[in-house]
Amino acid sequence: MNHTLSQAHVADPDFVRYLGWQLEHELRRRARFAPPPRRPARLLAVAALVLAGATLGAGGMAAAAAVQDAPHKAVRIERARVAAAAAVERQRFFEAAWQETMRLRADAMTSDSEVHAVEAALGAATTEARLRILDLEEVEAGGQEPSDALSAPRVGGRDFVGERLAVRLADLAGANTLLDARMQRARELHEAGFASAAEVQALEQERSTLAGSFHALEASAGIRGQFLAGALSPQQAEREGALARSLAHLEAAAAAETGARAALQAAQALYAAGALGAAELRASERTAREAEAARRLSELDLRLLESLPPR
Amino acid sequence: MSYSVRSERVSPAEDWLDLYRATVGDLYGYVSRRCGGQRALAEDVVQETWLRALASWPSAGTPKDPPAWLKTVARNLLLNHYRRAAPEPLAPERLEQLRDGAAGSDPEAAALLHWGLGRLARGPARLLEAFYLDQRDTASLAAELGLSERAVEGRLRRARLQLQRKLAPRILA
Repeated sequence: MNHTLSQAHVADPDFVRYLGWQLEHELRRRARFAPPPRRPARLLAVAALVLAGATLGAGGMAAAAAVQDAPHKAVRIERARVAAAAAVERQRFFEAAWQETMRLRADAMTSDSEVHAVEAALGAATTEARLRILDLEEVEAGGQEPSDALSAPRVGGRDFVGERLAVRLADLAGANTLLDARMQRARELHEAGFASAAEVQALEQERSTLAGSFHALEASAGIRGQFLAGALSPQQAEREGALARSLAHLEAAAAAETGARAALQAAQALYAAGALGAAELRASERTAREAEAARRLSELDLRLLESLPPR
Repeated sequence: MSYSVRSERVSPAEDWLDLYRATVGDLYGYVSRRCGGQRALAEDVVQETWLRALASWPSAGTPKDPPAWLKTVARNLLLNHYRRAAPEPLAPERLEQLRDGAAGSDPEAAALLHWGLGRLARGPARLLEAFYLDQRDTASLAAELGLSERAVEGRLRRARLQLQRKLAPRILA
């Protein structure tokens, strides 16, 4: 190869510096925006207290037993307060990060995908903070652990279950808006040949799952309203809620099966054209079979729930 | 060149940037030679390849041979790109020049070659890539594949025939 041709294949130093800067920026952003911590399951929280009691000796054991056996309002309030404070602090951190990102965007120093990532992190942190504040208010009002059961009573005259459902619905609506932006980007990459149809389908699948979750929450909010209005007994409310969740699972599984079948058809066409290996085709076939099995399991679960006699 | 790559699931930023600096030139050259030296396309592919590494490595783990991983992804991105649009037909003599490295400096020849390679089975396609794009000779290919040179020549001959059949509709009479 002659010298001129070699020079033609040397990267532009400006491009190398720019891509290096982009990678460094993205790595720093990821280090800052780790997923927010989720509220631990209440049984696990009690188990942790029991474990702590075991390490503290007899006095600690007695305290842990008290937590299990009777309301321990002061400890519960303190615990909810600490969790809420941590969530609010995290939200403030992401608010500051978001403002910084907006300033960078104004100077054309950041990409749309980075803005979307910061917005997603801020949205998740805001939702988490609102939920934990509602938890604290519920514990302060009733002295009991917060409950998300659709048949839970009002506490201090407030419907905390409904309020948390509303927060989660708003969170999913925001997530859907961000997903729209990601899908737009994926479609542009697909048009340019840098993203496969399977990647676009994966996002469409994500949207189907999100829509299923949204419908399940909407249904739960409706059931909660009927329960509070006295139109449903506690047992009926719980049964209707379980049915709504099961139906959402089925919708998501059916959408996943449709996506897997479309991906398999595309893989078969590529294989026939000699552009795909047999192993990749087999992987697509396996994915399609697994998606079909998951959909059938969801159908059977729903049928089982429907067959249980209403109490 | 040897690379010191950590085996844990998430590499610190400095490790990433060291790896980037050590490999970006080689990756760019690899891509550029495959797309006829089209700078905009080569830069897009290199950028997208690294963004995919960022998306994949923290969860799936850093591959044992990062440069090979990057080249495989870049190669697939290029094949995807070229698979989409039917290339302009070429005169037969320009196709003959592929063996002499024409795809490295001729975007139209590169497009046509990739269009054809994307329609071949993996084995013949890889062999032709090594021969046409990496300028490998039959002796080095024979050593790598554990075959005799004669066997490699036979496989190359059959692969070239397959490629010619695929490209026939795109060659000017």
